[in-house]
Amino acid sequence: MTKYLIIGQGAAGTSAARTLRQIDPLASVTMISAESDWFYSRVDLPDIIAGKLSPEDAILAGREQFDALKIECRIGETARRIDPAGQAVELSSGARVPYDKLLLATGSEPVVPPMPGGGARGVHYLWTLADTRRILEASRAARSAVVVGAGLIGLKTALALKERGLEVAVVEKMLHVMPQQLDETAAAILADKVQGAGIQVVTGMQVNALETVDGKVTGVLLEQRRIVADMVVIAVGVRANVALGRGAGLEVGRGLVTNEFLETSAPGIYAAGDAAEIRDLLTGAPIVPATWGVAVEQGKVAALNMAGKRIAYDGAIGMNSVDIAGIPMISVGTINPAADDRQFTVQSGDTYRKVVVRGKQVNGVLFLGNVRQAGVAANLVLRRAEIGEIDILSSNFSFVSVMAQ
Amino acid sequence: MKRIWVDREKCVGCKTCELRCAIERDSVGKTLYSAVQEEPKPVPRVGVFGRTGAAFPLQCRHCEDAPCLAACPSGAMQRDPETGLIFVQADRCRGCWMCVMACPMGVIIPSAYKTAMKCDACRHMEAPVCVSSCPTGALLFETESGYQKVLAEKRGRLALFARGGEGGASGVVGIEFVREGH
Ligand SMILES: Cc1cc2nc3c(=O)[nH]c(=O)nc-3n(C[C@H](O)[C@H](O)[C@H](O)COP(=O)(O)OP(=O)(O)OC[C@H]3O[C@@H](n4cnc5c(N)ncnc54)[C@H](O)[C@@H]3O)c2cc1C
Repeated sequence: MTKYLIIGQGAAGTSAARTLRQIDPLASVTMISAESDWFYSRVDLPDIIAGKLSPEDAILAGREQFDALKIECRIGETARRIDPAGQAVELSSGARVPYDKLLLATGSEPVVPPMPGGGARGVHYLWTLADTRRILEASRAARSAVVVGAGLIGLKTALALKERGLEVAVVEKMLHVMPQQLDETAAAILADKVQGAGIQVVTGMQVNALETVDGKVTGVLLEQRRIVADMVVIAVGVRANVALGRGAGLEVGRGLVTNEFLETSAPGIYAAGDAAEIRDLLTGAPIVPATWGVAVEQGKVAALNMAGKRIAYDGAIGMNSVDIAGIPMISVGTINPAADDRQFTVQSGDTYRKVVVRGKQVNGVLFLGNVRQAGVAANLVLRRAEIGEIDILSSNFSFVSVMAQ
Repeated sequence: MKRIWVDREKCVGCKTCELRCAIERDSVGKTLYSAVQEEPKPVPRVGVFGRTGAAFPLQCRHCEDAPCLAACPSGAMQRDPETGLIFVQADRCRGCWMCVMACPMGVIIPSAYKTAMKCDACRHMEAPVCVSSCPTGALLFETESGYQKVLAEKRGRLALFARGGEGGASGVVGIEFVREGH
């Protein structure tokens, strides 16, 4: 009986566990989760802060579901050390869990920028349900909040805190909001909506320090400015959580380096999800996409390989979809063109569409305001399709346009 | 499992399927008269695309390796274990549009209520309303073998359009799964 061990019960870990159970009804499948909550959706966290959902609403599978699949879960226990030679993992409790095949699905952790005052009370990060409960608690006693970073998580958190009735400002050091997913035009449409919701949006400014009184945060300090805040949420990005793998001597780049079978540099140890470095489907460059769907897919492929099926993972590309301040947006591939790329755009009010073409290929698409058909365009990017006569900007663009080619 | 098949030669692009789908599945009043007065406007889950003379009704293919299922982070997108049909449990949908981004056919619709909407082949009804309302018989609701029979009769003039996709490991679904029958 093969012993599979999975560290992390997020999207990647859970997808792997389910796949392993599906392939092998008899295998022993064990999951270790450092969090005290069962598998939940991180995407729900801002809505919990806003009060639209309760923490229980975010749970995707609890004890019952894992029990039914005979997946043994050690919830609230941290894996401290891997012993690759002895094929076992040591837990914080001192327990030793043996394995034949190991999956590191340890996910992301928020980037903690070094800045004076960063360790003060009232400074928060948002990645887990536990973080969410803390932010919720803090927001009850606060009148004002500053969110540092206007990425997806930063903006969603700012809007959620605003809905709770706080005075909210967002500070972004880049020149526009969501610099990773949007171009300037799209960002301007979005920033307008966010401001319309009553949030102060400050771009092109860096937070140099947090102001504190008696170890508690009271504001943020920019170049020549100070913004009062009873609480601060720092959302300047996430990075792969590689501590466990690094400790075992695994090769680390942006994440745990994997080969095409999602195996790390140590035989028998695999990585999937936000923790894994994989290849960009288009360029072959090492990337960590850090998105939900990719984590699910990788969990599945890693599991298939752990079970001895040789299934190659061809990589992924940066793509994201989100709805912020009522504006839906989907961005896929390269949005900001390189020198030789051609770009095409169409804008009408709050809807905006952009296509970036490199040579003959569709290299990136951005849909904002109206995202219907964005999946058709995304698939063109993923398939490295030639643009030919396909007019992605046309209001008639659909799968039939692609079929006609 | 039964799927919706398209005889592309018979589709004249009249959009009756769109109209009946919007009325039956998205309107409150369920009649044309009341539906046209509703706000937000009822939206169909099937779309007739393409030029006149080359029109094609598109709705969910209920792919075998469905990218929308893998993409959904809230458990709203589900497959009915009995029929194999994929449907949205709207009260679980958070409107993140990951399914919209993942669907290579573009058949998932962001609704006015900020939830994903898609064809579920009218799984609570006798037959899909698009199929039963099509005036030219361009839409069929059949099992694969039932469809093969029709196909044989027509000697391969149908677009074999309900194949499950070979979803690659990266979730890329090629358009190869729209094949012409021969
Ligand atoms: C607020 C928010 C909004 C988001 N919105 C979107 C969105 O709209 N679209 C999108 O695609 N993605 C979104 N994401 C990102 C998405 O949630 C992640 O890409 C996804 O959760 C990655 O899954 P994972 O399984 O790789 O890692 P994680 O979900 O991070 O899970 C890893 C788990 O491993 C555990 N772990 C780590 N180390 C150990 C150890 N040593 N021992 C035991 N357990 C350990 C961690 O505690 C964690 O529970 C969002 C994230 C957040 C926080």
